[in-house]
Amino acid sequence: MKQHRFLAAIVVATTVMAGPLHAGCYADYRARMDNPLRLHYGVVELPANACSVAAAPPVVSSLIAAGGWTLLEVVSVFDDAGLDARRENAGEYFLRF
Amino acid sequence: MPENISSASEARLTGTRVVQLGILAVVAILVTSAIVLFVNLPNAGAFNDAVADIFVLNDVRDPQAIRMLEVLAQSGTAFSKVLASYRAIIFVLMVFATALLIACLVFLVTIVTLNKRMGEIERSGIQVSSLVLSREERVVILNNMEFKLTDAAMETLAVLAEARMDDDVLTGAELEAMVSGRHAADCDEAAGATRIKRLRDTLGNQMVSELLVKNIARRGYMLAIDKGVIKMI
Repeated sequence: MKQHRFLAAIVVATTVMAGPLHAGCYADYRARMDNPLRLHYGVVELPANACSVAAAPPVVSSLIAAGGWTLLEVVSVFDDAGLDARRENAGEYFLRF
Repeated sequence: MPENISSASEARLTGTRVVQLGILAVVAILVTSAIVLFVNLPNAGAFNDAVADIFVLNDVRDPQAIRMLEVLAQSGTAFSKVLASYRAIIFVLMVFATALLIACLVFLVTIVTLNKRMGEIERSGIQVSSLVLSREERVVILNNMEFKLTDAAMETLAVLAEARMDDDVLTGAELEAMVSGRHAADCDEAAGATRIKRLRDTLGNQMVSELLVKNIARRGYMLAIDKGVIKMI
């Protein structure tokens, strides 16, 4: 019983500590499509293991490739707090891919 | 002075080689410049790439602004078609330039070769380019110079001309035989030689008076040559 309570404490502690890591990771990016040239600015959600500007481009590329887009750059990586500020500019490409 | 010796045929040979090398050089230069031209001309995607760069560098996020950039890229694409036609025009002009340069080179070398040959001809003295015999008028026209001959001299020259046309060489006796109509065995070698001597005398006399020692009527005599070519040693 005592051991049970100890385990529960560890689980709670882990959850509390890991909480901010699961707070959601997003990137805003720019992409292009040729013939004729089309451009867009958009926001995608990133998996936790690619949550940095350096690690994001391959992930974002593969995500937007589904729509036929080519990645130009990943502008920045941010969490839930930054979503609202970018919603309007991203427009139809807000969390589309 | 052996270095001054040259022949017209030799000049023509080096001339052809110079022409070949020159044409090769001209073609090589123009092919290189055509390649450089085509490599350096922006391709059709250049405008789109430039617009994409603007999109990234200026941190454009507003959807309306992005739409404007797309319109800009479309106008660029339209212009790139114009550029492609320019490229074709430039290439055609290059081909024309090649043709003109080659033609110029050929003409240049022709002129040089002709000048050399003219020099040879001038130095070799009188060059007979036409010999017209008129038996009835007893006149021989050498190039553009008209000489009057006696009957006998006319006969001799006619016989010599006929022999030359058959590539024959006549002895004095044969010449006398053909002029007089007798057998060559009956003819004297000296008689033919005399005919030749008379022909040379009359023709040579007239030729020298035409070409060198001129007689100006009621004034006197003078050399019919340029002052500058005379040199006293």
